[in-house]
This record gives sequence, structure tokens and C-alpha cells, in this order.
Amino acid sequence: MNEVEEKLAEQKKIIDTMKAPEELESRLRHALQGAHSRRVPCIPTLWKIAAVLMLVVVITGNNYNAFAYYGRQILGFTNYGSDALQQLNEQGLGQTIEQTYPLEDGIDLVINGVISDANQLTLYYTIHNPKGVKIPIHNSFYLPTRISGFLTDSKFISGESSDYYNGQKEIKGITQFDSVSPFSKELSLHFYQDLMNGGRKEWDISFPYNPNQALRSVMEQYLNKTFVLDKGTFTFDSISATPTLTVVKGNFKVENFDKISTLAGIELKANGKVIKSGSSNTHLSNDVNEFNISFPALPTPLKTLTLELKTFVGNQVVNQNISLQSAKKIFNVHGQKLVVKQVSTTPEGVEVVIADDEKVVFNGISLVTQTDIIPLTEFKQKNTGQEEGKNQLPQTLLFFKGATMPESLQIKDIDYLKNYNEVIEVPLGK
Amino acid sequence: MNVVRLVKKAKRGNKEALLQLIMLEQDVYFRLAMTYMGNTHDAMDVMDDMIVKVYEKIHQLHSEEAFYSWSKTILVNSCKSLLHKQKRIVLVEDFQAIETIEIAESLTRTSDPYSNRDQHMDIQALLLHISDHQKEAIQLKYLHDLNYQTIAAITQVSIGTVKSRVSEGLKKLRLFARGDEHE
Repeated sequence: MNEVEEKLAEQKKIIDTMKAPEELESRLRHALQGAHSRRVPCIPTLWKIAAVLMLVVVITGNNYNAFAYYGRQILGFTNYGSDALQQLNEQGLGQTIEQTYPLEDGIDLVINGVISDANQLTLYYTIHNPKGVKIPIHNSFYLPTRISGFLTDSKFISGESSDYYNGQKEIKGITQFDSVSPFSKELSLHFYQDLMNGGRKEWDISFPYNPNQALRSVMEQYLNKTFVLDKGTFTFDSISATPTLTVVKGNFKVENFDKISTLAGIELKANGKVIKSGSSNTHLSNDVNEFNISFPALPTPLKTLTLELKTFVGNQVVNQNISLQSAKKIFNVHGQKLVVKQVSTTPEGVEVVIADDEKVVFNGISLVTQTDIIPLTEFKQKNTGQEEGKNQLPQTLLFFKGATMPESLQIKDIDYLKNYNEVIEVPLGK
Repeated sequence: MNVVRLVKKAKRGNKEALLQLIMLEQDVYFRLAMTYMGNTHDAMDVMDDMIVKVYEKIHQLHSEEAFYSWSKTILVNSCKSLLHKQKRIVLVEDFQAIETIEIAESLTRTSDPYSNRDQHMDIQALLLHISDHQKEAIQLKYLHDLNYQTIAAITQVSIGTVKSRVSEGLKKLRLFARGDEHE
């Protein structure tokens, strides 16, 4: 040990003899009294894991692709989609993607971008031939079916594509799908390509998606308003408005909906003006028909919004006799027109041809003869009323087996498009 | 009671357990604080500060075994921040003046306080010749018996840096010690 280290060792000995003052303990105790632990309360492990997972998702999610997509217009699509969609794209609210995927037959599919919100996803695409060969007109290169992804399985709704650009070397279009999950970071587009050799190839291509760039909803209102109809009930569940689309959801349990199956009597009015509905669909689950109807984006500023059930299938008991012997051929059955076109007796029975509005169905039809009342054996549609450019009423042939000497038709009840005129004022939130 | 169990209790917010842990090594903490602060008053102040910080942050301590080296790091940081606040440089003259009284007070068991004090001042004078970093590393190693790892943690540098500070410092000290002899 050299001199310096000896000196240090000696110094250490001195320091080692140094004692803390006796009052130290009481001072420390006093200091501790005012201290507050910043310890977080004991969190169950599962929650910790969940929290960490969430954090990972949030961090990786935010850093994922936010920069590449922000605030750029998806170019070359100025006239595609609804007015609202065009405006949104002009404002740069879409996500540009611009990824090219080579397909068969030397054709490329470019996914230019998407505009997404809680009601739908619109995908912008271009099909072109990099070799400059004209695209044959009759081939379908792109037949989309759905979009999948994490917590996402969105059906194809509709599409719209251009004429050929660039001297028949390019097609541009948009495809709309049901909305995708806000947890999806990558989406897969599923479609078929019809090949030149007559075959068909199934494709599944992935592209990045940034749910943070999805557009905010304008309004989501739960309505839960039920109306009692003639043969069941009808409920408006909710209305959800996003910048690209407005969707009304509801359900009905109506026995005679199959007789006159239309949702056309549901009307949405914004600021007093009727908004023309787009597509609608229904599906049956547990005896209840669930429906949703799409309308275009709502106008801004939005002052009033009403939802109306103007007409829907109704039922009316009429117990009416239609004479087959009088000169009168046109009858009014609870406001519905019925025309007797022809009555003929054959060896098998009696045939009556009637014409009626397609918005009415006559039920419980029997033929009253001089001796008997004979129930309807069968009926068949004769025509739709639309042929030869004439807007005629559709005709139906009623056949009564074994009947002779017809006197009148007996009609028990009708299913018809009834005016309900039920109106809901949709509350407009802040 | 073993340290790990006490640390676990302290982590659950038990103040008595924490106090017990600190009191088990009270002299070690005190000596360390004295090295930086140079007087009992400030040394006690920084220890107050340390125990509060330790209490607030003990949930961040992952390894119970590391409690002492971790808490010493907090103590040294408290010392440095107080020194910074006071913007005071402990000059050797001041140090000697204070130390003379204080060391004398605390060296009750030393048989020959004066020769010891000479020795003490001698090494303090020598330590003035080297950089503050080297001085700190040497003091922590030789006067407080701390291992390189703990010193590295306390001084927030790598172990390699601590080793080089110690060896470079010692080299210089040897040079000056020899020079002193020749004078």
C-alpha cells in the first residue's frame, strides 16, 4: 500500500469513528411524518397487463402512419361519390395510400386512398396497365367482396367506376364498404379478378389504415321509438350521421311485411327538406326484421331533423263482395282500386282475371256462386303491368276449381300500403 | 429483522420500517452526508430530505437488496442539490475550520485527536490538487468503502469512468504526495 492509500485508510478510520448525532432518529421521524407516499395502489396483474397492452397499442398506433396520410387530397377523384364525399376529399380529409399491386394479365391495381368514418369506408382505386396496352372493355378486373382486418369484416356496399381514361388505359373508381373497426391498423381488400382466359382469380391484398384519420361522427342519436301498426310493431332504434353518410337503424315485427315489402315510406327531413334515401337492407333475426337505411350526409348547418314513418304495410278487414255480373268493372276496396278484367268458365272451374295496384294484396278471396262459396284454388301473376310501355295495373288470374255460375268475389281483408304518418323530431345535440 | 423484509414493508408505505432501515446504517449515511456537506447541521438537513424522498420513491425500487446503494444515491443527490442551492464551495480553509470543531466533537473515542486531525487535514489538502470528480470518486471508494457500481450510480457515470477517475486521481495524489515530501 502506498503512501496515499495509507493516508486514505487512516482518514477512513477517523471517519469511521464519526457517529450520527443522537437526535437524528427523532428528526428523521419528524421529517417522515409529513411525507406522502406516491406509491400507486396495488393494481391486479390482469389490469396491469391490460394497461401495458393498451399503452403499446396507443404508442405503436400513433407512430404508425399518421404522417404519411394527413391532410392530402386523394388526387384524380374530383367527380366521384356523393357531393359530401367530394367535398371531404377536396378538403384533404381522406387518407392517401397510393400503393400499387400487380394483378394478373399485366394490370396494376392502385389503392389511392380511403375516406373512412363510423358509417362506411370509401376506397379510391385506379386500374391501369403499366405497359400502356388498352384495357379490354368487357373484363371485370376488380370485383370487390369485402374488407377484413382486426375486428373488421365489412361487406361491399356499392361501387362506381369511370369510363376509361388515358386512351382506354386506365379506370378509376370508388368502392364503398361497411365501416371498419377503429382498432384496425391494416386492412385486407378481398376481390375477384376476371382473367383474360376466362378464369377468375381471388385476391386478398393488404394496405395500411390509420383509424385516427377516420372522420368524426356528426351525430349519434338513440331514438328507441316504437309505433304500433296493424299487424305488429315498428321501432326506430337510432340515427347515426357521419360526414359521408347517415344511417337510420330500426326493427319491426310485422306479420304481413312479406305481402308489401317496402321501406320506401320512411322519410328523413333535414331543415324541412326530404333527403332522398340511398340503399336499405333488412335481415331477419329471431322473428324480428332489423333494417338499416342509408341517406346522404346531412346538410350543415343542421337546424331540424325529422324522421317519419309515412307509409308501411297495413291491414284492413273489408268483407266486401265484388259483383262479377254488373256492368261495373272498377271497384274501390277500402280506397284501393280493383278492376275485373275477365271472367270465364272452363270445364275445370272458373277463372277471374283482376287487375290491382301492386301496393295491395287481397286476402281471403272466395267465389260466390248461385249455390256455393268456393275458396280460391290458386292464383298466378299474369303480367307486371309494365310491358309495351304502358303503365297498366298488374293482372292476376284467380282460379276456382269446380266452380260454375260465378256471381261475385268475396274479399275478406286487404294488405296495403297504409299512411301512418308517424313523425319523430330527432333531438340535435350540441 | 432482515433488510429485504423491511424494504418490502417500507414499500407498502410502512414509515417505521423505513426509519428502522435508515437507523440500521445511520452512521454510514451520516458520514457520507458529512463528506459532502462538511457540517452536522447541513448533514442532518440532507438526511431529512433523503428520507422523505426515499419514502416517496421507494415503490420505484425494484430490487430490495439494492436499497442501501439506492438510498445513498438519493442522499448524495440531496447533498449536491443543497450545495447547489447554497452556491457554496467548501474551501479547504472553511472545511478545516468547521471540521476541526466538528471532527473533534465526534472523535470522542480517538486516543490522539490531534495527530488524527493532522492526518485528516493532510489528505484534505492533497485532495484539493485533483478534480472534484476524482476527489468524489476517491472519497466514496476509500473513505466510505463503496464499490464501483454504487459509486457509478451515485455519480451517474459508468463504472469505467469511476475506475478511471479513481486511478487517475490516485496517480495525481501520489505525484503531489511525493512533491510534498520533497519540499
